[in-house]
Amino acid sequence: MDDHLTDEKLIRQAREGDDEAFRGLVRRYESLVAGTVIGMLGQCPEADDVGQETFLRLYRSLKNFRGESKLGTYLTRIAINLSLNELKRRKRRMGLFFGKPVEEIRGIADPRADAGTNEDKEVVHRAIGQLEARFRSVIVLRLIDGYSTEETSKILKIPVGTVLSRLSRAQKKLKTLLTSYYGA
Amino acid sequence: MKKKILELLYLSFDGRLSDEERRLLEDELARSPRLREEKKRIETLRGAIERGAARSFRPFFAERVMHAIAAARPAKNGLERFAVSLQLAFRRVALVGATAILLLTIFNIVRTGDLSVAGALGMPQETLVEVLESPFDATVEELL
Repeated sequence: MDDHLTDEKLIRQAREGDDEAFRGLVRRYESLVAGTVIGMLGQCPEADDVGQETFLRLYRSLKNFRGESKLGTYLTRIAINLSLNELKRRKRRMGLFFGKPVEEIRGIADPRADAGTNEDKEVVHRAIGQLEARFRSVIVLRLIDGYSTEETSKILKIPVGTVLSRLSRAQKKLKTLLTSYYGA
Repeated sequence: MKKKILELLYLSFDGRLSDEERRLLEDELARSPRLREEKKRIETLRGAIERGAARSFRPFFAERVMHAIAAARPAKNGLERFAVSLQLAFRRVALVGATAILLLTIFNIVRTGDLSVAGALGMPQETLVEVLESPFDATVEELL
């Protein structure tokens, strides 16, 4: 229904209290936010919560949104920050009770163990889940969301050189983790 | 395989090579079958990550977002405003009440020096003799 309307128009209408316009924005950007959040946190109930919170933050800041950055980039920035906060919370929580980070507990130690199941998404997510948050964020932004290295650097507020070196290290680690599954 | 060349190979996917580096990599790729194999591996990996990404939340995500927004939004009509202010008023009453009970309990404990529940509630402590000599017992005797 709102497919033909531009983001600017939907934002203007949402600002004026049009819920349908905001719903249109949510539908339009759900896949982008889902890619970021699920890439960072894996498929879990918290991912849905973080996704909702991302759009709630957008709703609250509609009046102040001046369109200096693209709406997608703005949402990705919120989503990645909320996901990083959630990862820190998880780590603290699990560190408190078990003395080791959640990724080691939730994910399987070696994604290659699932090599025969053919569930690509699950295996890839588990492998990404093995990466440290700083490596995971560049993989998600660059390879899943498809941002350029410059955009990734702006979203994460780190130099382009750091993005490139983290990308390279993350890919090496993923290659090791997924070697037998993809024959990579 | 040289570390530097491998690094250039990774960087090439993100388009960050200078002309000289690109030439160096191309020469090496033409010469080394292992490097070509490595390039194919990286392409497979990147493709797998792109394809493997989840692109949606659980069904009815937009509806859940709109519901959360409606819940967080301040009440609009008169009845809703009244219900919210009533809720707020009772919350304050409950808070003041709980504080008063706490203060009274502390006051009673300090006054009587008694840490029992009866002491905290300011109730008189009755001995067994006082209970047995109560008017109720006299009535029972009369009945018997």
